[in-house]
Amino acid sequence: MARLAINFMPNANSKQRIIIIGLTILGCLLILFFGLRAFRAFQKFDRHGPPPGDFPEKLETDVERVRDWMTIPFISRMYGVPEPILYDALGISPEGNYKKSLRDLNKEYFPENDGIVIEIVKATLLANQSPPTPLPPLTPIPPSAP
Amino acid sequence: MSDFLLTQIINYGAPLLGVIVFIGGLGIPLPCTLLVIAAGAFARQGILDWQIASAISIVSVIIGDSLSYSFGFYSREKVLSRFSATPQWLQAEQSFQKWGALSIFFSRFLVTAIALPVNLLSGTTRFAFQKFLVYDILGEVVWIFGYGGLGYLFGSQWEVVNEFLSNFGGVTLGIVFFIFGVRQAWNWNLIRQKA
Repeated sequence: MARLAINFMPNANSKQRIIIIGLTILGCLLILFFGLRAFRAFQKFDRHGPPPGDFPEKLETDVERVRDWMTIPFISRMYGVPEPILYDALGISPEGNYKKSLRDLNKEYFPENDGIVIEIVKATLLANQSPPTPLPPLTPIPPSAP
Repeated sequence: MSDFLLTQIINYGAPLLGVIVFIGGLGIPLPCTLLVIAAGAFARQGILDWQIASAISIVSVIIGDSLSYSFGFYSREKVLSRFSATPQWLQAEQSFQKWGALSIFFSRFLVTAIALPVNLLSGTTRFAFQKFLVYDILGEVVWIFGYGGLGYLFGSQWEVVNEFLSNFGGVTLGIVFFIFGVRQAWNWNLIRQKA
C-alpha cells in the first residue's frame, strides 16, 4: 500500500501522503459503517405501519411508540385517550405534572420502580383505545347451479 | 439531551425550536436535525403550526449562521497572524472562493457536521456576505422544509426517518473524504506525468 502510494504520489511529502491515504481510508470506513446503518434503518422503515401520505393523521394505535420523553397531554392527543384516564391510572394529579415527561414522573412518583410509568401508560392506552371499526357482514354467495 | 429537548418542544413549541436552531447555527452541537424532523411530525399531529414553526426556524438559523460567519470575519487577523501568506493558506482561500458556495449550500443539510467550519472559513476568507447569505438561505430552506417535510410526511415514523438520514449524512461525509483523497492523489499523479 505504502509503495503504491509512493509510486502514485511522488510529488507529495510523506506527511501529505499519510494525510491523503488516511482520508481515503477514513472515507471508505465511513461509507461502509454508516452505509450499513442507513440500510438497516431503511429496512426497519419498510416493515413499519401504514404508507406515508395518509392525511389527516389517524390516531396512533401502536403503544410501542410511546417514549419516556413524551408528556401525558401529548400521549393523550396522539392516541386519543383522555388525559384524566391516564392521570387516574398513574394515581397522580394533573396539577403541576402536565409538562413533565414520563421519565420525570417516574423519578418523582415511583423512584423505586424504574420504567413503571411507561408500562402503566401503555397498558392504559391498550385498555382504552377505541375499538377498530367492525367489518361489514359477508354477503352469502348462492351456490351456482350445476 | 435529545429527549429533554423533545419534551420541551412539546411544551413550548415553535419559539423554543427557534432558539435551539439559532444556538445550533452558532456552532453549539445540538441535535437540530432530529428536532426539525420531529417538529415536522408534531406539526402533522397538530402540536405545532408548521407555517409558524418553519418561519421561526429559518429566520433563527440564518441569524445564527450569520453570527458564526461574523466570528470568522472578525477573527481573520488572528488567523492570518498564524498562517499569513503560507502557500497552504493561500490555496485554502483560493479553493474556498471557488467551491465556497457549494460548500455553504450542502453543509446546511447534507453534511451538517462541517457547517460551523464552513461558516467560520467563509468569514475568515472574506467570502462575500451577500453570496454567503443567498446560499445559506437556500440550504436552510432545504433543511427545514426537506427534513421537516419528511417528518410531516412520515408522521409517527419520524424516528426511523431520522435514523436513516443521520446515517446517510455519515455516508456523504465518507464520500467527500474519499473523493478528496482520490482527487488529490490523481492531481499529484498528473503533475508527475507532466514533469
